[in-house]
Amino acid sequence: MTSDPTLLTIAEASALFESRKLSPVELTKACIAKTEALDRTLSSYITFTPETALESAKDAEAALMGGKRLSPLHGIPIGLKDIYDTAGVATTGHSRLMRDRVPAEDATTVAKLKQAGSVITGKLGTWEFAIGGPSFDLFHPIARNPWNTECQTGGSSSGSGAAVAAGLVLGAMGSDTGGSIRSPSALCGISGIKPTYGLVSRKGVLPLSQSLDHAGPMAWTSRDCAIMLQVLAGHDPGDPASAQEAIPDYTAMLGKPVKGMKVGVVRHFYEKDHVATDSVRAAVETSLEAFRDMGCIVSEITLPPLIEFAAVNMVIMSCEAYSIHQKHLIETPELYGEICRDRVMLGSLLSGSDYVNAQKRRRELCAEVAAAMAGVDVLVTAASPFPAQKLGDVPKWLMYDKPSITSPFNVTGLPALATCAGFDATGMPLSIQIVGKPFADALFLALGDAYEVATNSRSLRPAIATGWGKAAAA
Amino acid sequence: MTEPITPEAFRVLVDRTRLTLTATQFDELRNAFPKLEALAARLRTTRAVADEPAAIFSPKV
Repeated sequence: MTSDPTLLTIAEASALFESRKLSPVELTKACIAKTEALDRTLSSYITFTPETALESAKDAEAALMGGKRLSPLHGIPIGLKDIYDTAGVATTGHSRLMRDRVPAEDATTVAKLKQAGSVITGKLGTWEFAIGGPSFDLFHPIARNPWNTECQTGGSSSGSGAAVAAGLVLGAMGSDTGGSIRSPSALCGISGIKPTYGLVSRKGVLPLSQSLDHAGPMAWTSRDCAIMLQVLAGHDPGDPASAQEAIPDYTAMLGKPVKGMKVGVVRHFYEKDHVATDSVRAAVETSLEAFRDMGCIVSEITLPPLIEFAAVNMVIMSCEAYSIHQKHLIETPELYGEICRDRVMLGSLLSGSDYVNAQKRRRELCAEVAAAMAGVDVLVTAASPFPAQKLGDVPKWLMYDKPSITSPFNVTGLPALATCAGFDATGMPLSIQIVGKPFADALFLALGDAYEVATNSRSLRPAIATGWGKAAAA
Repeated sequence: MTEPITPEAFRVLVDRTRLTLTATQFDELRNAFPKLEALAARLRTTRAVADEPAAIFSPKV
């Protein structure tokens, strides 16, 4: 157990609150001090709200002292990607178009986090409208990777990835349309889940592509993601895609043996369809050995080629995003950053039949993946084909040139987790992706948790996250 | 590899959108468009009319 409370997991901090060995005010003050010391370098926050966070922490402390514990998130500092509406606090999408927009209501997920007693610390960086980045022409600097601040975080939930990895918060909310939770989780060495489509409400979350958008948690461990999902999941009539599924106990399976679990590895995604670096391929192989050592039965699974999913994902996303931004791109294009503007404008050039074709192919792909998964419990593949690149080295049209390894699970709506699977020779995190069947989120979270415990993969933090006290004192 | 689109053909597409592009933006999007067009082309059907699956919706709100 660490002596620096900012390096605790949600589960650890919550247990310490219960035993009164740590208080929400102590933890929140430590997160605030760390943010003030490090965020000039990391730029993870767009809007930092330490005063209201401290007030919430005091309320949580009083409630906990009075024996009124609302949830395991009670008193836990949580950050929000700046596309989640927050009553009275600006929600900008990191765009000049909405720089002064202050919502009147919280997003459903934000309201749930508050009802569970979370301490909301502010609004975290995002690629503009969850698509335009990494960008250098926005009103706030781009978030930097705590493992190497010359490198990108991945996106679009860039601030969430940086803030969790650095321990500025213990958990954060991200969103994922083609990989925007899992990519920054992979490149920042944390855990992040894109839940099953429909499981977590998107009401009050700025949309990019409503038939592909997912809201979900990012944290240091899969266990912490499960704790957050417990609060977040559930039907919301305000989201037309919200599912009416019974919500299980996502923590009930954690810590139980995973022996006998059937794991299908999708090698062709990262060995043929989008060839990953040697370091990523080696990390996945090492992970498969760990799964075998845990008693899992590993077999190889073949899915349709990545390019098939990429075509569906990119056509749907391009059309839906342009539909959302059409008016503003015609009337005030100067309020957008270059990358967001150009990527979204491209969607104007597709036809109605292109969009319908993509939706029809999507249904076929869902059926093909379901058939391929019939004999396994989960899939495992790479989460990113490469570790984090230098900030200026990310090609503007990469997602159109190379098929994404994460987007198949936006197309199919399947739940998917990215978690750290070691480091490359330069010390940058590598990651695997674990994918479940629809609404079997509890099962793949259990496997992610078991993997993290068995491999001790969560023991190493970025140097900037552990040496901050000395740097601040100096 | 994706096929380039001529400036004249691309102008026709852009004019339908009502977007105002600078010359730089026009060239940037003209160069990028074939990448997206190639993805869309993969989805264009070769099925007979009677074999087309429905893109359905649910009437339940």
